[in-house]
Amino acid sequence: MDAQSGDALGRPVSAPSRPAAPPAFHRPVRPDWWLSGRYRSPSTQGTRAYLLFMLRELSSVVVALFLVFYLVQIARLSSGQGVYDAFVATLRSPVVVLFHLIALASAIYHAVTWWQLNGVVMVVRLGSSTVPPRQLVLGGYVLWAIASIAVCLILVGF
Amino acid sequence: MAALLVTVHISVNLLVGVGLLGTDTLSYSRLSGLVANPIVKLYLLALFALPFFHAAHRLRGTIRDLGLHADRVVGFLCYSTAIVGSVWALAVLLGVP
Amino acid sequence: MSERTVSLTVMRYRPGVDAAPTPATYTVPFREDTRVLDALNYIKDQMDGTLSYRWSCRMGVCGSCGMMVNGTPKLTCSALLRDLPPAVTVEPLANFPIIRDLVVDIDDFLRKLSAVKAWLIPDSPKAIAAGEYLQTPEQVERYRQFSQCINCTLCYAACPVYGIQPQFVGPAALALAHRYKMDSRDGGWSERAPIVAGPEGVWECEFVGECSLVCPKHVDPAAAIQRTKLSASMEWMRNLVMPWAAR
Repeated sequence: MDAQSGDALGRPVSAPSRPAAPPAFHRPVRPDWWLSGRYRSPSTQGTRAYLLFMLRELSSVVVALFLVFYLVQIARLSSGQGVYDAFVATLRSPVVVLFHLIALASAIYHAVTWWQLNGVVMVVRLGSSTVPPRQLVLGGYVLWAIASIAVCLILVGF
Repeated sequence: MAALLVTVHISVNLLVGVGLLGTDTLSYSRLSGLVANPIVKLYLLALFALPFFHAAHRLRGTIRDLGLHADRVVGFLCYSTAIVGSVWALAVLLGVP
Repeated sequence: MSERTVSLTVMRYRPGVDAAPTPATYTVPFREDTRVLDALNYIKDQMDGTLSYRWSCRMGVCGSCGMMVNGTPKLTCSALLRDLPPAVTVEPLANFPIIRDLVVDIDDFLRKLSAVKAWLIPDSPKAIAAGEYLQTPEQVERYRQFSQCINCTLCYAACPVYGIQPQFVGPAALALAHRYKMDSRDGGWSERAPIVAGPEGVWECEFVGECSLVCPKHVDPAAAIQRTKLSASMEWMRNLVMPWAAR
């Protein structure tokens, strides 16, 4: 690929040497690349696309934080009724309610984006044909609804 | 993933918190009875462990995306936290009679 | 009939002369069917012959004319000015070093194409006298979508992971690796796996999904990568449990 070291067959070529090309210009990645809106997605997300991606990633962390809270809640079952009931009583406090609202929003956002992305990507074959992506996504939501209702009924008690 | 079902658990807690469900929904006797069931224990273990690792992985990637290039250290911290959390969950679930 | 005009701001950069790329604005007339590429050609022909950019087929099949148009990676031969605001900014494709003006250095991508061995590695060698490889339409359909890649690298410009971690093999190369994996004639997965299923291959991908949204040929590299993640994971588990079955 280096034209100065000979012709196509590698034979020496007597030609005036060319000066080396100046180095290409590297555009630095800005630390606010996900905020700055320089990139515009062709989708409706437009300049918010990278920000929404970041929120999607962080939503999994928020969900994990709720699960830590929930783990403590379950753990209190070992500490006797008094301690457990005291913990459940904290669910009524405004801070805890706010935390749950944020966690719920995060969990829903996480689940919806997960299905939107993965529903299109998974290849499910029925016989010789593949299931169209839209049906997969719909099927996913149906599965989610059924599983959620089942868990809900068990948890709340029918 | 397990995160899909977490919405139910958050919602029940939330509904109790705002008073749309009575606290007896999460009563000590009922929940103890539920968690005593080994199948429920298995379900809860997955409910905790899988999102812990999922979140650890996403957090590791996000920290790198935000510009911190210390992937070995960050990865170690994230995954070991997930392991600790999962072991804690296991201990809790085995500890509830 | 007064002509419509667009205010085209183009990033100019002369290596060895300019410290950094700087914008230059040109007022260009356009009609119903004028593309951004036509406007660039107008500037070069009528206004400033020093403007440098790549283009070739002008019909969306060669992949040469990729640039950032108002922040979106596009083939400028396909970007109609009538669909854009009255002020348009054209920049070199993101995440690649700039050689000059709108021309970027895509050597890194070409190296990655070689690294994933984006060519057919036949399952078993076949002499020409033995005849053609036969494929049913169903077999073709399994990889056809991923074979549509024109190497335009719009997906690399859209991928934030590639921008931050340039060692990432990237959407197009990984989609092509998947294309060969799904091709019934190919048997080269074991040769490609160390790169494709390695730490800088599919596992770097965070499924942002923008690569598939900007692809002009609807290759859907994001789908190719996630499916490769799935098949690589299953293969790993299978080899763990049944090492004798390793291919």
